[in-house]
Amino acid sequence: MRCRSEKGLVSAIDDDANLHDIENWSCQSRWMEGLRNMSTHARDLLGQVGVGVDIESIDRFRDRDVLRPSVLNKIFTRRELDYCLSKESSAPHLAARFSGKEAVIKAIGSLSNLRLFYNEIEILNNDIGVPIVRLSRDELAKLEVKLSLSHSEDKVLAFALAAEKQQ
Amino acid sequence: MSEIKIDSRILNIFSDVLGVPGSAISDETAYDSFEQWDSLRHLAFVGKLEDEFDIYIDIDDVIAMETFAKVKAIVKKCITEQTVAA
Repeated sequence: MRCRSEKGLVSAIDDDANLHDIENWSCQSRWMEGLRNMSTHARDLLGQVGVGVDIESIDRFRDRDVLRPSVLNKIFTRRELDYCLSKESSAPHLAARFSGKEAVIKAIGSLSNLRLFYNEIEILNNDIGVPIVRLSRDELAKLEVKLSLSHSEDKVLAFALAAEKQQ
Repeated sequence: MSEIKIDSRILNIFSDVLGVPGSAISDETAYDSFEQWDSLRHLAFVGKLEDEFDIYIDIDDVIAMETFAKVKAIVKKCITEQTVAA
C-alpha cells in the first residue's frame, strides 16, 4: 500500500509539472522537496505505529473448557483474574480483556516479529475506567500502547494502537 | 499407557473442544488453516490436555502446537518428562 501511495505521488508531481513555466522550476523543486519530506515523514509514522483490532463472543467465556484454572492462568494475570472474577457476571470482563490482548498482540506484531503471549500483557482499568495496558517484557519498555474496549449484549470489540513513547 | 491409546485420547479431546468429528482431523490438520481451531479453542484444548494427562505444557510448547502431529509429539514429550520427574 505504501508503494502504491509513493507511485501515486510521483505521478501527481509529473502531471502538475506540465502546468508550470520553466522559470517556476526553482519554486516547484522546493514544493517537490516539501512533498518528498512529507512522504518520508508519513513513511516514518507508518513504521512506528502498530494497529490491532479484535472481536470476541462473550458466550465463549461461559464455556467450562475455557474457565478451567489451567486455561485462565495462561491468559490472564493474577490481578486481572481478581478483578474479573469479582464481578457478578465475569464473562464480559474476561472476554473484553482477552479481546484486548489479541488486539495488542496484533498491534505490536505489526511493528515487529515479536510474538507476545497473553499473560505478558496486563489490562486493568484506571480510576475513570480507561483500560491501561502494561507489558511485562523489558524490550518493550519504549512502547506505549493505547487500547479501547467496547461491547454489545453478546460481543466485545477491542482496538489497540502501539507506538514508540515520545522522548 | 500405549502410544495408540494416548493418540486416541488426544484425538477425543481435540474433537470435543473444537466440536468437530474425529474423522475430520488428521496429522496435517493445522492451526492456521482449520477454521474451528482458533486461539481461544487452542488454549482450551491445551488446558484440557493438561488436566486429562496431569501434565504442564509450557508457553513455548503451546505456541509450537501448530499441527495435530506436533500436538501429539509435544504431549508425549510432556508425559515422558512428567514420568521422569516423578
